[in-house]
Order: sequence, then structure tokens, then C-alpha cells
Amino acid sequence: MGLLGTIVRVKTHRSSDCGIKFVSRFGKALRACVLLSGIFSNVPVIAQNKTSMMMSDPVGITAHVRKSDVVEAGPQHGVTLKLSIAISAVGSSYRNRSLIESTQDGTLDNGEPRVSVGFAAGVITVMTDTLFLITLVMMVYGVRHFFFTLNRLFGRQRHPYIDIDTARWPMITVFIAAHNEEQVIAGCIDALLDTDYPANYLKIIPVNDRSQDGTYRIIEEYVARYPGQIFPYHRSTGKAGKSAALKDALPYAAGDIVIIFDADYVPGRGLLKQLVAPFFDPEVGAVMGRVVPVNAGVNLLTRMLDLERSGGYQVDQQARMNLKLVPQYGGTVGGVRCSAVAAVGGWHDDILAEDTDITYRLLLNGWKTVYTNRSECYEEVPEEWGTRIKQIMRWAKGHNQVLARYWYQFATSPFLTVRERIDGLLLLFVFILPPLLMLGWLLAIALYFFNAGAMLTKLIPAFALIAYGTMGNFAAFFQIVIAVLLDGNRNRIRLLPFNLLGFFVSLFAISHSVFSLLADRLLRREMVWDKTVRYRQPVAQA
Amino acid sequence: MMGGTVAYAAFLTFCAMLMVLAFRPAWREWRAPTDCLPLSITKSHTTHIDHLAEEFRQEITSNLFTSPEELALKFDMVPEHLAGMDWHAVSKPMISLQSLDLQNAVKCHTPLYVNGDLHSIGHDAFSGLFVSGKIFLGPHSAVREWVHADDAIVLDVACVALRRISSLVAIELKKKCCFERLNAPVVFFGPPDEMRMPHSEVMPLECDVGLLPGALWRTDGLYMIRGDCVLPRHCKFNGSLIVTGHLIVGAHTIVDGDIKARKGVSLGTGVQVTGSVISENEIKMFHGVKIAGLVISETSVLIGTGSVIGSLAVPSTISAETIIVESGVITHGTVWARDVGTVWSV
Repeated sequence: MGLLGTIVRVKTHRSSDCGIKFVSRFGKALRACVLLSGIFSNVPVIAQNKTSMMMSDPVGITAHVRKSDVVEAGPQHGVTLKLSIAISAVGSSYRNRSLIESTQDGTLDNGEPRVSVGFAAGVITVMTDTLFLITLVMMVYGVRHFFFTLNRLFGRQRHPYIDIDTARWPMITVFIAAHNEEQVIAGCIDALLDTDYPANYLKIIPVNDRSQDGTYRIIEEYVARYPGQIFPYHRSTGKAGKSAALKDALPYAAGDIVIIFDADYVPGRGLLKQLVAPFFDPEVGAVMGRVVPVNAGVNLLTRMLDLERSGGYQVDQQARMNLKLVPQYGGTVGGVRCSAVAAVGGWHDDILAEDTDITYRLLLNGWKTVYTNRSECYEEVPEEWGTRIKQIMRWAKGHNQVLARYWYQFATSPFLTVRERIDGLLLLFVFILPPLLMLGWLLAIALYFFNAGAMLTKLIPAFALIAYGTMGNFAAFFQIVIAVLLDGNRNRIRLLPFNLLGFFVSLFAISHSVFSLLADRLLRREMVWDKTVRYRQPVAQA
Repeated sequence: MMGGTVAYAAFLTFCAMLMVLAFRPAWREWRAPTDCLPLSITKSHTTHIDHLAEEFRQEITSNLFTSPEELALKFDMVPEHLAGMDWHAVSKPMISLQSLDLQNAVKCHTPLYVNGDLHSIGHDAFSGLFVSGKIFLGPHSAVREWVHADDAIVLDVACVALRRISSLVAIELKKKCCFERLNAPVVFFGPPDEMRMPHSEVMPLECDVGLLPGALWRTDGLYMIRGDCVLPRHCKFNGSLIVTGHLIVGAHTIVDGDIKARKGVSLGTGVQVTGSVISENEIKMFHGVKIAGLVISETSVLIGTGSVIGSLAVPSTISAETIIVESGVITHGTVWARDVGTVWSV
């Protein structure tokens, strides 16, 4: 209580000859930081008179403090005094600033020079401000994770369209995006032929994008075996990439609803109806189902990805749906309303994350995206770290392209509610966090060395790290744990500590992709679409 | 100084131990997996309401022609003369090879298959009921899990039907019945109220949704109005409409398209909608409303007497947490009340 009381007294002190005066516009934020950390410091006194004293820390930042601000004095004429001055790595910059502002003649009462702050202090100011902001951003994201998880546990669950089972089902087209998919495409087509969606309202188009393997042959075999049900689109030229291939195939679609699967997906019998049902709502522009790793048990990486996917879908996406925020359309196991996509500018093929691109264009133009957690479908996840790194780099690059294009439009769209706007922007900036986090770590380490002698400045980097650890990463892990429990699994949670490894890999991969995107822009390099490797053996060979 | 260093080292060691300890079960689970199967997705999963009943039918038909001894291992047979039968003692699913006319209240805790019709006098309780003919359950009967009939189903006054009721022909619920999920080509809630069926003698005035004040174009034939909206009576609007506030449709107005209103929909007497009616909040229909498409609410739906939802040719779905239906309503397809549905009669 004494500590906090003194902090308040120091902070609120306003006399002109006082050495410490918190006049910064960040005063409130600083106060929060001080209360959070509760820092003590042993600061050597280098000069004093009856009413005030001069103190200095090892980097030469000097403070002129009134004795009335001192909490607990040491020996009467001792060298050190224990202060509760709210000075931290963040606060030191303000201390300097306020000292400069309060200095009248540049000397103490006894004639000694007061402050010697130069360029280094300015740099430290910028560093501390930046670190503080990064910590704040990380905490916002951490709180968001917690909020979503708690909503999933205790909130009202929204599944507004899951009950639709009798209706006049609309004509739909199912695209199967395929590029060298001989190992898996037969399974996907078989599953779609077995669906309970009315066959006369269903058009299946395998989009064979420049495959070099047996994909063409397998598709043609199915066309011959099921005449009038499968309408292949073989593509041997044109721009590379899934979005470009789908854009070229779009004119062959029948009906207003297009459902998209990657060739390695195996939809269940009722999945198409579940994915189409939300489109009865005229406001819905895109629908997303849940993907479940089918090769979860292959190795440590796939098991970790299984945990991540659980957290991402079972908690994150469903919580967004519950809270009427912005569920994200993921480009597969989902569908779009063609007329809505056309109304917002059509399908873009110059972007690596066409799904995120469509999600944001739909949202900022007043359409809704819907997530249906019970519309589950198996997919393959990468089994090798190299593949995983490439995949996440592609996602990050594409996502950040969308960020660059739409963040301002999204922030100012008149169609969005405040909560949609906040969540959408947080989601949009999510792939900026890894480089930001790394910058935060670097700043924390650098500030540690700048302030090595002072206990309080030792603690600040630690507090920053703790903030990241508990409010950032831990929150994501908490989300995963709850997702796994909601899925009815138990023992796989034990693998959670290994997700730190995945976290670090993603951290560097995403950071690299951010710089790569910047380099692409500067050097005007063309985007390269890396296809994810498939592992499943063809049915005949299995 | 020395003490501080030791304390610092001890603290670091303690932290490192905590971290390593967390990795011990992780390491064991990695090296000797006990939970690594993919999340189970039933390939044949559908939302068909008669899913459970069909499973039971398949189980019956696959066993019906086995030897009597094998059949007796899995099922109990209902005797020809029911007098004196102790239904409480039944532990296996029951099969009746002929129609049943129950003269006493029956409480059966296992699924019952009836090859024929079933008629009860009331105050019965069943867990599951599959009947190849018609079902008539007397007043105050209850079904805990599912009921399916290949022919019509009639639930008399104040019956409680939890879970699923499906028929290939028709379902009729008398007043004060409670339900959760119904599916049939036609569902009657009380006797049809012919007097209040949808009809209008006034020729409606043709209007375009796009000409409404504040209408924003979304796609061809689809417009959005931000805020509340009132559609005047005796008009015909062509096009679908999204309203971000509350929507009121005046009496005897026709909307040729879908309507969605986030904060609620009120449909006046005799309103007709050729598409779906969807809201995140309450949907209220006065009497004589006709809707061809779906009715989806995230909270509640109130349907006034004489209303008709869907048609025999195009069945529909009504879905909400709470559904209150006045006696005299006809629906086609599925009615799904997630919390409770009830037939209300003044």
C-alpha cells in the first residue's frame, strides 16, 4: 500500500522544481505499466540538500527528486535510498523528458549540473515506447484468445442453419481443385458421388490444373463411368495456382452456389447439404466447414498440427460465429455465392490467399461469412517440416497481401459493426505478429543491457517476456486444450509443450515471409504458388 | 551478493525444472502414442430425421428371418393377447408382428416395432416406436426418443414428443402437444382453420424492392435496407430484401423473394412470401400467412392460425429455439424446435 501510495504521489506531483513530473501523453499507459510491475529500485544518491536529492542510474540518466517523494530512507547520510519511483525501462524515457522540462537553470541547489542526456536517451525513448506498444498488442491478442475460449465454454453456441434438412435445394457446382493429385482425387470424387445432395441439382467439376501425373486419366475414367454427373475442366496453360485455375473454371459453374474442395478432401454424405444450407440466408456470401487432419497420427508434426487445427476451428472459428464476428472462409470445405463474389469484384488470381481475399471483400461490402463447426471433412496435413514451413509461408504471404490491400477499406466500411471491425482487423494483422514479437524480444534484450545496473530495468524485459508467455502464447495453448477436450480427446493434450517448437518454427517462417513479401514488392517479383505435398497412397496401391 | 547469486541460480533451476517436467508426459505420449487417431467423422452421417428409426428398421429386418432362438436372443416378441403383459419387465427391443390396440396405459422402456397399426388409449410412454402402419397415441402420452410411422401419426391432446417424430404421410398434433423435431410431407397442428387460410380480395399494387427508400443494391434482385423497414399493406414486392433492423410486412402484402431481418420480422395477416424468412431474432406471423420457403430464427417463431408453410411439392424447414404454433396451422417438411415447440390454442 505504501508503495502504491508513493507511486501515486510521485505521479501526481506537479511543482515546478520537482525532478519528476509525468507530463507525457502516455501517462495513463505508464501508470498501468507501473501498477502491473510494482517495481522497486535501489538508486544511488549523488548529491542532496535539505529538500531534494540528485540520483543517477548507470547509464547516466539523472533524477532530481524531492525528499518528500522518498518512501523509505536508508541511513541518515547513507549512499542509497529505496524508492518506489515509478521508473522502468518504459518510464525512464519520461523521466528524462520531465527532467529536461523541469530544469530551470541546469543546476541543483548546490550548483551541480543536473542532467546529462543525449542521443542515447532519445533512442531508449523510442525503444521503450515501441516495446510498450508491442507488449500491449500481444496482450490484446492474448485476451482475445481467452475471450474466445471462454465463450466456447460458457457462451451461447450459434448453429442457425444446421437444422435445415428439407428444402428446395438449389443447383450447385462442386469444384475439386487438383494439381498432380493422382493419389487422392479418386477418393474425393467417390465421396461426392455418394453424397445425399439431389443428383440433378449437383454438378461436379474436377479442375485439373496442369497435372503431370495420372490425374487426367483418373478423372476421365470417372467421366466415362458416371456420364452426366462429372464435367471435368482440364487446364494445360494459364497462370499457375489454385485461385487462377478456379477463376478460369468459374464460367462453367451451374447455379449461384459454388462449393470448393481440395482433391485430398473426403466429404461425408451429408456435408454438401450442411454447407449449402446457410446460403438460404440471402445475406450469406461464403460458408466455411471444419477440416480435420486425417493423417494426425503419422508423426510428431502431424500430431501438433492436429492440435492446432482443433484450436483454430473448434474454438476460434466457432467463437467468432457465436459472437457474430468474422468467421473466415478458408477456400476449401466451403462455398461462395457467385453473385456476391461478382458483386464485390470477382475472383482475384493475383493473390496467394484468395480465400482470405474473398472473405474480406465480402465482409467490407456487407455480406456475411458463416462457419459451420459440424460440417467436418478430412484433409491431409504436412508430414515434413519443409512442407509445413512452405505452407505457412504461403499463408502468411497471402494474408499479408490482403492486409495491405484492404485494411483501410475494412476499417472504414459502413456495413460493419464495431465488433466485426475490431475482430476483422485483429485477424487481418495476425500474420504481422511474429515479426513484431521478435522485435519485442530484441528490444527487451537490448533494454536489459542498457539498464543492466538497475533492478527495475532488469525486471522490465522479464515482465515483457512474461506478458508474452502468459497472455500471448499461453492463451493460444489454452485455446487448444479446450478445443481438444470439446472434441472428446484426452491424452493428446500431453503433447502440448511440443507446440512451442511449432510456435518457434512458425515465428521464423512467418517473419521470413513478411520480409519476402516486402522484397517481392520492392523487386517486383512474381508470386510463386507452392503446392502442398500429398502423402496418401492411391487406393489400388494402399 | 553471494546469497543473491545462489537465490538467482535456484530460481532459474526451479523454472527449468518446471519446464522440463511439462515435457515428460509430452515425451512419453510422443514415443508411445495412446491418443493419435484422427477425430472421428462418420462418413454416413446425415441430418435425416428418421436416421435412428431406419437403423432400427434395418436391425429388425436383418434379424427377422433368422431362427427363433437367435431372434429371441436380441428381441422380445409381443404376445397376441396383451392382457397381463408386464411391460416394465421388458429388457430387449420388442417386436409385434401384428397391429396393436392397447387397452391399458403402457410404459415401454425399449424400442418397439409394430408390423401394422398402433392405437393407444392414452397416458402411455415409449422410448422408441417404429410402426409400419398408422399411429394413434391417446392423450397425455409421451415419447422419449423417436417415433416413426410409414403411415400417418396422430398425437392426441397434451402429448409430449421429445426428440424425433417422422412419418412418410402426415403428422397431426392436437392442442397442447409439445414437440422438438417433426418431419412429414404434411404436419397439421390441430384441425385446419379454413376460415383463416391465406386469401385476399384486393389486387396488390406492384412494387420493386429496389425502389424502397434507402434500398442498397446487393446483387440482381437483392437489396439491403439499413435500419428498420415497414412494407405497406396490399402491395406486391418483387425481389429479395435484407434489413439490418426490424422488418414489418403489412397485411396481405406479397413478397416475391427471400427476406432477412436481423432484429426480427413481423408478418401481418395474409402476408405471402415466395422465398425464405430468416432472422437472428423473433419471427412473428399473424394468421393466414403463407410462406413457400424456409423459416429460420435464432430465437423464436410464432405462427398464427390458418398459416401454411411450404407445400407438398416443395417441403420446407421451420427452425428456432422455441416454436409456438396456433392450432389450425399446416406445415410441410421439417419443424425443428431446439428447446421446445408447442401447439397453442385459445
